[in-house]
Amino acid sequence: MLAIMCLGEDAYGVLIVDELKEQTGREVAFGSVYAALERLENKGFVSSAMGEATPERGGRAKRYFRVTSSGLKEVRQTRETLTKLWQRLPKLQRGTA
Amino acid sequence: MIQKPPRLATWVLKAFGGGRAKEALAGDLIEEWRHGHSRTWYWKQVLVAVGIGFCTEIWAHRVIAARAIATGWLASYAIGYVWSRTLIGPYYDFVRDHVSAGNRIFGIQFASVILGLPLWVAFGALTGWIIARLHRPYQAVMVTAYLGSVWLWKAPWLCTLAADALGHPRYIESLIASLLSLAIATASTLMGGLWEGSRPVAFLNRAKI
Repeated sequence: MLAIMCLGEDAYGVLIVDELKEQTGREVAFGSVYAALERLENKGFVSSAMGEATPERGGRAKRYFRVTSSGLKEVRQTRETLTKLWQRLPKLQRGTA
Repeated sequence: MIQKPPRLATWVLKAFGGGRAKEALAGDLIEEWRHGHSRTWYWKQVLVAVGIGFCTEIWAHRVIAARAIATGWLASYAIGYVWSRTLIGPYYDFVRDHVSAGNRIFGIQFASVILGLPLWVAFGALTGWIIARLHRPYQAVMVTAYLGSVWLWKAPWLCTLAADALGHPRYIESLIASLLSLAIATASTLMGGLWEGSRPVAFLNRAKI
């Protein structure tokens, strides 16, 4: 969801995967990203809409994703929870907790 | 000229891929492939997508999957029973009653190859067709689930046969014959299931989802 929010209006499969690859430094499988997006859509956290088809895509349309208001609420709650958990951790020294 | 990605891989994704965004996923893979990836990369992405899609669909529709597996086993048993009574049994009776003892083995081998092979293919195709027909719009996934159950069922016996073949080379022929018949059954069942799924009515049903 964070990757979709970073991309704004242009969030579709290729750009989402590129964003994840850039941020994590690892190869990401398109299938796993789409599976995650479908789960998020089933929960109502993201919505999708079909875009334009291009010859470069074999005549197949893009599917654009955006985070819904429920999704934004979930992102904020997760951020608050994670911030609290991080604050409870003792100071990290030389890689140990 | 726009280069095209591996056609077979794209077909595999279209036939076996799950999920609502299958077409968009295919488009993304084609677009990304044109940025300079290899055929191996494309195949890997397709197989991962198909594997994840398969597991997701099976889990989301596990009751339907259980029903599809049961349907497949029942259908294959019923078809096998009918054919053994109407075709195979009478043929063997004919060979026993009308063919001389010296030619009986040839008669049975003739039946196994010339008659048995097309029957075996038709048997598998009919089973796949029945599963696909009764489990729209998840044809490909449910036929694959049934085939998975068949391979799981046969796995212990195949492992035993393989172990025997390692110790005694005379079992190698049986192992090869068993693997071949299983491969033919798998291919023909998939063929029957995918043929059912490729009909225009099935396409329209899928497009509405």
